[in-house]
Amino acid sequence: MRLLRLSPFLLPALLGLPLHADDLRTVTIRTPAGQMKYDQAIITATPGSQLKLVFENLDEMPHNFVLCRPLPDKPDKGLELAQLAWQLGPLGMEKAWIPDSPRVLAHTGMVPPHQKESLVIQVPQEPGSYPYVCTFPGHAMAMNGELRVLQEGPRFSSLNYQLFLGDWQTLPDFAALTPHRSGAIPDRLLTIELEGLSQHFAVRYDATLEVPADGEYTFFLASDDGSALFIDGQSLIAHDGIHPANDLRSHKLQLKAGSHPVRLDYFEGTGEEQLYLAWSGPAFSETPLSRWIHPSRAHPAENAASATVGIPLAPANGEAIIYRNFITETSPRGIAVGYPNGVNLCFDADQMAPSLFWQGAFIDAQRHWTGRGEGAQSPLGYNLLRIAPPGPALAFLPEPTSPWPAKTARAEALHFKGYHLDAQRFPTFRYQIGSVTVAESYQPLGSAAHNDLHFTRTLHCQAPPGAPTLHLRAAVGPLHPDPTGWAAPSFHVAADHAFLRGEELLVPLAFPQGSTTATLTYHWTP
Amino acid sequence: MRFLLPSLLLTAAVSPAADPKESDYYPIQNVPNPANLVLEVGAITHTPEGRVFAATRRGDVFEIQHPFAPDIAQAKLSLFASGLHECLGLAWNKDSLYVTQRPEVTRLVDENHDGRADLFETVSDAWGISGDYHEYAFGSEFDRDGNLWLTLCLTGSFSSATDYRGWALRVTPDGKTLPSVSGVRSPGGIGFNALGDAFYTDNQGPWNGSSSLKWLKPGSFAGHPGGNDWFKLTQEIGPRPPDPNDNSRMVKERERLPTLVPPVVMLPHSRVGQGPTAIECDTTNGKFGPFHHQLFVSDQCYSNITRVSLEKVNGVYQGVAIPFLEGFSSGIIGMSLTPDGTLFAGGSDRGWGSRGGKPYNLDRLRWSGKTPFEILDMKAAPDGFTLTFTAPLNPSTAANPASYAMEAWTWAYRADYGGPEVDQVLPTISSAQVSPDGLSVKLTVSPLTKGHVHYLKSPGIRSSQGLPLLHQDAYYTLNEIPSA
Repeated sequence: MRLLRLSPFLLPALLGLPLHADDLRTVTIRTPAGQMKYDQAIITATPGSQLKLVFENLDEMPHNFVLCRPLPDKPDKGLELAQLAWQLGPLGMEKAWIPDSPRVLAHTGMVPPHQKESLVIQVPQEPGSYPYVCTFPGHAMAMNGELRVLQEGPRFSSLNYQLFLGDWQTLPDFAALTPHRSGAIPDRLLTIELEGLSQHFAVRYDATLEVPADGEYTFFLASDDGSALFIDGQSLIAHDGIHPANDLRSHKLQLKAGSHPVRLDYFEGTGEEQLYLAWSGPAFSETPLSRWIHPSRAHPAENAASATVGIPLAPANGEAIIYRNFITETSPRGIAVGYPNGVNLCFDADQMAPSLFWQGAFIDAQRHWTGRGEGAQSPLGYNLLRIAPPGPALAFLPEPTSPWPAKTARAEALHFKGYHLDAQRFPTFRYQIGSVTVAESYQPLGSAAHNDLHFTRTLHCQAPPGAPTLHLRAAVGPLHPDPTGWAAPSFHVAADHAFLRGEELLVPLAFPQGSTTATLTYHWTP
Repeated sequence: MRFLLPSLLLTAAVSPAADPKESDYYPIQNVPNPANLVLEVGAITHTPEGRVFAATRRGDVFEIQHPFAPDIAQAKLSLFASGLHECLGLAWNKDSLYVTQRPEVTRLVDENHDGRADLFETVSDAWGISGDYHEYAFGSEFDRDGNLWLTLCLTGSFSSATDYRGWALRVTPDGKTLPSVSGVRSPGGIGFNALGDAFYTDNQGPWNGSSSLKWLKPGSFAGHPGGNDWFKLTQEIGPRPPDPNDNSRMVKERERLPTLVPPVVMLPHSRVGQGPTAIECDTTNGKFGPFHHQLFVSDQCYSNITRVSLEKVNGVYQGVAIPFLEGFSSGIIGMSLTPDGTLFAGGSDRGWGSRGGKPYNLDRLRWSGKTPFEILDMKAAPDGFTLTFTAPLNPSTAANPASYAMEAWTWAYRADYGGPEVDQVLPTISSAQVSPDGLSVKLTVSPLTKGHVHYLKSPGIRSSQGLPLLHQDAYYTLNEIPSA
């Protein structure tokens, strides 16, 4: 229960914990580069157990891990505690941004980039959701998760088996067969090691589960080879045929409190053989009903290397990087740009509008660069910013009150002309609307380290003299004027000549001389 | 090393040792890739100055430096452009590289001459993409009139979710994009014959019993009605043709649908390949071997190349498909044959799987100078076929009808995926007349069936040197029977 920051190898002697630290269940939490998040949003543990936590910082910024007691009646994701940390002000760095608060259950120090720290957590006896959070100023909104302290559920109250010998490709018709052997399994955990067989056998298990309370329960089944699960005589999971055990299937159902018959049929052809069955319920976490533990469950965090897989793309050599593909919230003609300082955007080359901005990591190309490349990819970074809903950014408005043109499958009046790369490979997008030719470019500014990333957006417009006035929809949202521009809930925009029309911030682009330039500045705001 | 042993040399002189192999004539050389760049090649082109570019499915364009070095080990790759969206077409004109990527044709120019493109100018994006992975766009080289052809895959196999999916378009030198051919299903590449007519490969699937090579005759209907709704967007090629009847035959529907052009050459599914892609014409005047003006068609699934020779009968293209070379390490998607007789070929196994076992490849192929004993050409006659050969025949084997066997069939023309081989016929070869020069044979065959593939096997014939054919199989698509 105390915050324990000593090496786990010293702890057993001090606290009477198990002698071998390696016996502790280990959970690794990583902070993927540029994503402002923990790679695990949920970890689970049983009440009163001990957990070895390895906190590995893969990011370019320092982060910590602070496990908190929940606020009674007010889940806060640890934000209130993080606020206390930020109030430490200049003292914060010295105290590793750990506030003096009885809410703190365990914590790491401030872990520098590319370093890791371990601690042993004494899991509380009381079931519940315990938030964890990074208390470095500005991080807690995105960097949080929860430790779910959940009881283990009951095992079977009885478990019998019938073993059959034969060579099958699918589950046999057990009723038509005579068992080779049958009996009870004393520890009431499913096992296929009944006679040391490694091929050409099948087992029918009949068991009883005592369901503690009415509610929704989930069953998890993986097998090599085929299996079928029946609850109360009804088929719940059918996974017949020859296959490996890596495909773990689950199914939910409502169960009444009380005794329920469970039947599991299983067969093994040749090769590997495995069987995993588990269940979870409203008051307990996934609890194995088999002796063998599925690899994805044995050390869940060790296997969830989500932070390090994929094909993350990043700008290099001080140059921008471009990724054209299907990007979320963008027409299929998306052009994502990652700038070297950690500003990223996606330009929609159909609507001629920036669809998304974000900070940190650029994009993971795995979805499109493996297999057939189905679906749209969302940004890899954080602080996603949408300055306007999908649709064109420029329009000729027939009347001052004309509604802004809606997004259509293909923006009719707009024509993409490509882009030009400067010495840093920063693109200037070119497109046409009516008789007006537009060159649109972005200049990323500030740094993530100073938490002041922002950018300018410049539109150079060339038009024949006397061309009608064009409007740029610079931002949409609840916008409030302030001395330097307009503030929206998550960003600030400054633009000359801009005016509010309802929730739309419009910039008129008139062409008395035939060409005009508009420059806008956007800041992320906390 | 063993051919250095005198005793084996002696053996070889007495009787030919092993039968010749494809690699004796066309050895495959791998372009070195020490940095393990992901070369999922989608298209290759060359410039008049002898530069060679390869573009990839990941959206990179590489230049092969020293592409013609005698020792392939001297070739190097440099990155010319990146950030493009699945490149499946490359062409060069003046100072610019034209890339066909999924959403558009883009002109790439290296304005500051640092070896990397800086200008990415949209040339045409006059078609829809819905976000479905299957909506591939293949682009050609420039044709004799300066047009760049595009084939746009349907949205999947059956339908067309957005503008011109299932069509071939032409981008003209003045920047117009002309809808040109409807009825495209799942194209694999575009090429031109020596006359400059455009052809594309289409894949087995709905309305395509087998993969085939098709003629992009402007105004024609290539056979899959899934994209024909888009006639409502264009007057360019006349009114929408009626849909073909389901479970019919191509010969029958041709009579009903005047714009329906039958496949030029069937590439029998699971016999010569399963996913035809690029098309290259040999205009090297013998530098690439004896197959002057013939077409070479690659396959993404079988990682091979099939040779095609065309003729026109009654105004309709038809011809023969003969296996040419197998054994690439991944599925070929892009090819480019340069005037000196070097064929560059590369591809990827991603998404569909390929023979060869490698995820991607970029290779160079040069004729060794030795002439393989092959059927050079097969042409239809009113009463059979005329074969020509690359080397003189042993007349007694070639004049014996028992040296040959023939089967004929067609495929159901239907809306369901693929089609079985149907309407089997076993034609009789009643005579084989060898020409005085020993280089050709006239086969008298009965019956000939219009619309059928006539599959000729020639296991019995030998060259005057005693060699068997390097490839004994020839598949002739008899769209029209020449009149006497």
